[in-house]
Amino acid sequence: MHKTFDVKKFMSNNAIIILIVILAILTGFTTKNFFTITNFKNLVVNVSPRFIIACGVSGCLITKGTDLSAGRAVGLAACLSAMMLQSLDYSARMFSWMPDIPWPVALVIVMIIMGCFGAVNGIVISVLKVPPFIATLGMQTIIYGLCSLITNNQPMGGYKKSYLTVASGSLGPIPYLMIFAVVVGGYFLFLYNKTRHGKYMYAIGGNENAAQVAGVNVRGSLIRIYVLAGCMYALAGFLVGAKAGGASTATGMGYELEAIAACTIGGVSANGGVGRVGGILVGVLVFEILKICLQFLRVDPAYTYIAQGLVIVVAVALDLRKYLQKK
Amino acid sequence: MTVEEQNAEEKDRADAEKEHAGAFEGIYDRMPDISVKALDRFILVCVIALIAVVLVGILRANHVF
Repeated sequence: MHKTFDVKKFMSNNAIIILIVILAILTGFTTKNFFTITNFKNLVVNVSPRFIIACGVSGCLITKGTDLSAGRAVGLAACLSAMMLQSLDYSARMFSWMPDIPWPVALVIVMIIMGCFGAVNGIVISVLKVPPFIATLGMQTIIYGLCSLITNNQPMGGYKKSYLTVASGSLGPIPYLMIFAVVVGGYFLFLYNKTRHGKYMYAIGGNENAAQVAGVNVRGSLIRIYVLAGCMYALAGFLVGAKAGGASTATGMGYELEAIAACTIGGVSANGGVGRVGGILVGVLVFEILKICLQFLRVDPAYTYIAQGLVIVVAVALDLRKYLQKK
Repeated sequence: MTVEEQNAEEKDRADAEKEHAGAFEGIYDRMPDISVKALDRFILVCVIALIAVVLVGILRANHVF
């Protein structure tokens, strides 16, 4: 039996993606340097850390939660990385006593620290039954306070060359940032589709009570999800700091809303239980391409914010539409 | 414990968990009844607004008005 291609259904399910593709094509034909390798590299470099953050947040969203502390966690991770990876001969070095730490060691340390914050989120949500919105909102403020304390509200810079190369370097034509994103994407693809953890995650998102009755360790799974999210924010913060060449308490501000919006655009349902890594990548790309197109068209950033807000509203409305049709 | 008592206990547990439900849990179930047609019209309005915002931004960037 042949399945006929429903054009109307395809267009309604992918309305935003179709609009952005049309905008990108129009921008490419009306401006110079849009369809260039440099611009493509710029897109990849911007998308990579955001994709990593969105992967971290996706687990929380799929289990009907959220993580509003993502942005501030990225900022704290960037600041912690900065503290450990400043150049030895930098005059304004924060901790002059700190020995020279290789960047992979610093990355592991930052991931452990941010994983602990994720564990606290997971425990508060799964054991104390605090709603994720409230728990992570509180954690967001706590992390911001901690970041202000440890940095003394001073911006940091003067990084080692090896740390800066992580963001600016490339393996042939492929930026290192893209390699990090591909590895994370591949890992999450495997985790969500081929492991018990992934199955439990979708089960909890679909129906937590049924998952509990079926023998899923809901508490353990939720804690693991938030710990993994914390580790992803650490990696993203590490990369964002390297890319920017500096970090401050303002680093990462608002990233959580972009990540949640990107996940929603990419098909991660606000109602839980649904979401794919490919969709997350599409969501992040849609957001970044929209920004880049409007930049190329010299549109005032204020209009970009309005357009992004409308994209989020349409994405949620389309998600609700899919839910109502199923019902 | 009989099956009825077990079901009643599960229902109480479920109700207690619903009280702890956050902003996003069951968000679509708690929305008022909306028809798919009304939602389609809302989506269409938002898409038209999005296109309008982008167009206005482009026109202002080119000093058309």
